[in-house]
Amino acid sequence: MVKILGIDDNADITEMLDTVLNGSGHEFSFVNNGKDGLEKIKQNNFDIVLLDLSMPNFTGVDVVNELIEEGIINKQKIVLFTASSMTDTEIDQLIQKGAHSCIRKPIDIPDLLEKLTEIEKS
Amino acid sequence: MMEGGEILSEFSGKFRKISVKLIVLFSILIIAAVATSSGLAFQSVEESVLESEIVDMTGVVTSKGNEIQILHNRASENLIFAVQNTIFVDYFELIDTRGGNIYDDENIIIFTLPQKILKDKLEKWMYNFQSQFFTAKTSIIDNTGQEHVKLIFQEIAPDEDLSSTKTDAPYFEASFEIEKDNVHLQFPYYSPEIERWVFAYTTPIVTTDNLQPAFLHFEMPVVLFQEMIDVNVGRMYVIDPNGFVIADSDTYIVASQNNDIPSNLDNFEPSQFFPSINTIYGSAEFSDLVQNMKTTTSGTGTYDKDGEKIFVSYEKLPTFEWILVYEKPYSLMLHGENSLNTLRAAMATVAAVISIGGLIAVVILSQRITGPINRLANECKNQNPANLKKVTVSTKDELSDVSTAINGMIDRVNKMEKQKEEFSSMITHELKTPLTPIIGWCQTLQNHKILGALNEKQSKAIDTILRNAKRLQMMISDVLDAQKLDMEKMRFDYKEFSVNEFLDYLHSNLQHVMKPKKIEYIYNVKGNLKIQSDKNRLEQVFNNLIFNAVDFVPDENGRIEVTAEDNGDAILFHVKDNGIGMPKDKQKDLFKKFYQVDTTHARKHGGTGLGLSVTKGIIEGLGGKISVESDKGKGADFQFTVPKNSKNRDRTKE
Repeated sequence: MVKILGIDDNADITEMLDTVLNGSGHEFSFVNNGKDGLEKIKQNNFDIVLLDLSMPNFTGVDVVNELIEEGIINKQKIVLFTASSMTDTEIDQLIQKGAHSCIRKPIDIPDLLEKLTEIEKS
Repeated sequence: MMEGGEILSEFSGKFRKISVKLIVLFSILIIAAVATSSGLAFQSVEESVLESEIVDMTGVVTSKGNEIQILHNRASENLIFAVQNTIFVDYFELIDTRGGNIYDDENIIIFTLPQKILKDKLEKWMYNFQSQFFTAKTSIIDNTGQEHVKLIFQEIAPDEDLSSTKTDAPYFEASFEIEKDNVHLQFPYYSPEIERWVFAYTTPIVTTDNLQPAFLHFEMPVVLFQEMIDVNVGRMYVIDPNGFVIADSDTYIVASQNNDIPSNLDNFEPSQFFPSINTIYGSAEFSDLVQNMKTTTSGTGTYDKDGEKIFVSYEKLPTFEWILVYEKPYSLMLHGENSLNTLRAAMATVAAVISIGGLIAVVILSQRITGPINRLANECKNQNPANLKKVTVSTKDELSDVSTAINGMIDRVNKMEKQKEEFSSMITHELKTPLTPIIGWCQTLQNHKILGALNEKQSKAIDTILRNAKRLQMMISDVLDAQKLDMEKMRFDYKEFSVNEFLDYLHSNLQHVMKPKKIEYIYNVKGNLKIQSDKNRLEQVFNNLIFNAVDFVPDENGRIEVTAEDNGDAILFHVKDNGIGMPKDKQKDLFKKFYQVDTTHARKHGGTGLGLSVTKGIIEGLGGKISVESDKGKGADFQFTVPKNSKNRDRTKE
C-alpha cells in the first residue's frame, strides 16, 4: 500500500484528505506543521509527501530547502500544494530542485487521485 | 584688478553666453521700437526744422559706450556693482578711485555732489543695462552692504487687486493713475522699493495661449527721464495725461530728487511736486495747442510767447501716454545742430527702453512662468498609472512647491498601489483556502467508493454546492487576473500540447456544469492540432466563455458548440451558443471591465463583470485576438485565435 504523508496546517484539509485517501486505498497520515513534517520525512517511511507551501513559521519552502541541504530530497516524491500567488517560475525552481510536482489550491480531488495514481505507476 | 572696459566686456560676454537668443530678440525689438516710435516723432520735426541733420545711430551707441567707460573710470573703489537675476548673482567692484568717498558715523557712504551725479549716471546706466539684459534686480551696494541704487522688475500675483480705488494696493499708493487696455499707468510716486521718484506701469503678462499668469510691475526713476531730455538749444519737457510737467529741460523738477519725499503719502497731491502745464505758458493759444497734444499722437504748432513765435513739435510716447514736447523760438531755428541729435537720441532711448523693457519682460516672464508649468503638465500627462514616476521640474519659485507636492502625492499613490497589490494577493489567498475543503468534500461525496452512495436529492444538493463553489473560485481568479493584466504582470507558461486532448479534457471536466441544465455540448477539432501555449490560461479562457454561455442558453434545448481549426500561424477557436444573444450596439463594450449587457441580468446570474475582460486580456497576452458575432435572440459566437507557438506570439505583439 502506498504510504502518503500530508503536511498542512489547515485541519479541514488534512481531515478531508484523510477521508479521501484512506477511503481510496492509500495509507495516509498527517502532521500540521513544517518541523514535524521534516522529522517524519527524515524517518523515510513515506512514498509520497503532500506538502503545503504556505504554513506559519516553518513553511513548505523551508522544508524543501532543508531536504535539499541534507541531500535527501529525492528519497520520496514531494507534491506541493499552494494557494499563494507564487509564480510558476518560483514553483518551477522548487520542482527543479527536486520536488515532484505542484497542485494549486483549491485542490481538485479527481485531479489529485489521478496524479497519485500516475506517481504510483512510475 | 581689471580695467573697467575689460570687466564690462567680460561681463557682457557672460550675459551673451547665457542668453544669446535673448539678445537676438532684443536687437529685433530695439530696431522695431526705435524705428516706430522715434521715426514718427522726427518726421514732423524734420519737416519744420530745415537745418536739421540726421545722426547715424552708431554715433549714439558709441557715445553711450564712452559714457559707460567714463562712469567706470570715475567710480569709487568701494562701490560694488551688483547684478541679480534668477539665473545668477554677480558682483564686481568699480575700480580706480578718483574722488574718494565720504562716510558717515555708521560707515555708510554719503555721496558728495559730483558723486551724486555719478550715482544718477550709474542709475541711468543700470537702467539701460537692466532693460537690455533683463536682470530682475540690479543694484549698487557699498562695502557695508548698503544698497544705494536699485532697479527691479516686479511680478504681481494674478489675483492681486490692482484697482486704484483699493487704497492699500501695494503699487497704487500715492500716485495718480489711468487705466488703458488693462494696463495701469502710474505717474510719479515715491517708490519705497527703489527709494526714488518713479513712473510705473502695471500690465498683465499674456502668454501665447491668452492666459494671464501674472502682472508685470515696471518702475522707472524720474531722474532718468529728466536727464534724457537735456537739450542745448530750445526746451524740452514732458507732460503727463493729467497735465502736469513731469520733466523739463529748463527747470529741474523737484520730484526727480530723492530727498523730496512727501511726508504724507496718503494725501499725495501731484501739484505739490509737479508744475502744471500752464506754467510753461499761460495763454489761450497755448491751451489750444495742449488740447491738440492730448487728442492727437503727434503734430506741430506754433504759439506766440512775449512777441516771439515759438515752434512746437510734440509726440505722444507709447506705453506711458506721456507727451514729449520740443519747442524752439524761430530765432534759434538755424542754431544748435546738437539739439536735434540730443532730441533724437533721447526720444529713441526713452522709446526703446520703455517699450523693450516692457516687451522683453513680458516675453521672458511669461516664458519663465509657462515653461515649467507646461513641462510639469507634460510629465504628469505621460505618467503610466500603474507605475508613477516622480516629476523632475524644479524652479526656485512656487512651481517647485507644486512639483514637491506632486512628488509627495506620487509617493503616497505608489505606496498605496503596493499595499493594494499586497492586500489583493493576501485576500485571494485567504479566499481560496476555504474553497479547498468545500470543493474537496463535495468531490469526495460524489465519489461513491469513498463514503458510500448518496440518494438523488443529496447528490443534487452536492452538485449545486460544487457548481457554485467552482463559480466562486473562478470569480476570485478573475479579480486576481484582472489586476495582473492591469499591471502587465501576468506571466505565461508555454508548453506544447495537443488541442484534441485539451478539448477532450475540457469536455469531461465540464460535465457537471452541463448536466443540471441538460445542455447539449458539442466539440469538434479539424485534424490533429498541436499548439505551444499556456494550457492553464487557455482553460481559463474556455471556462469563462463556456460558463458565460451556460448562463445564457435557454432552459430547454440549450446548445454549446466548441470548434478548433488550423488557421495558418494560429489556431482558430469558436465557442457558439444558442442563447439570448445581444444587440449589436452593446457588443463593442462587451470586453470592457465590469460591463454587463443587461444590468437586470447581473442580479439574476451574478458575475463580477470581469470574466470577458480577463478573457480578452489573456488571449491578447498569448498573442491572439478575440471577437464576437451575435444579435438579439440569435445566440453568440465568440471566435478567437491563439498563435501556434510563442515565436508567433512575439511577432504579433509587435
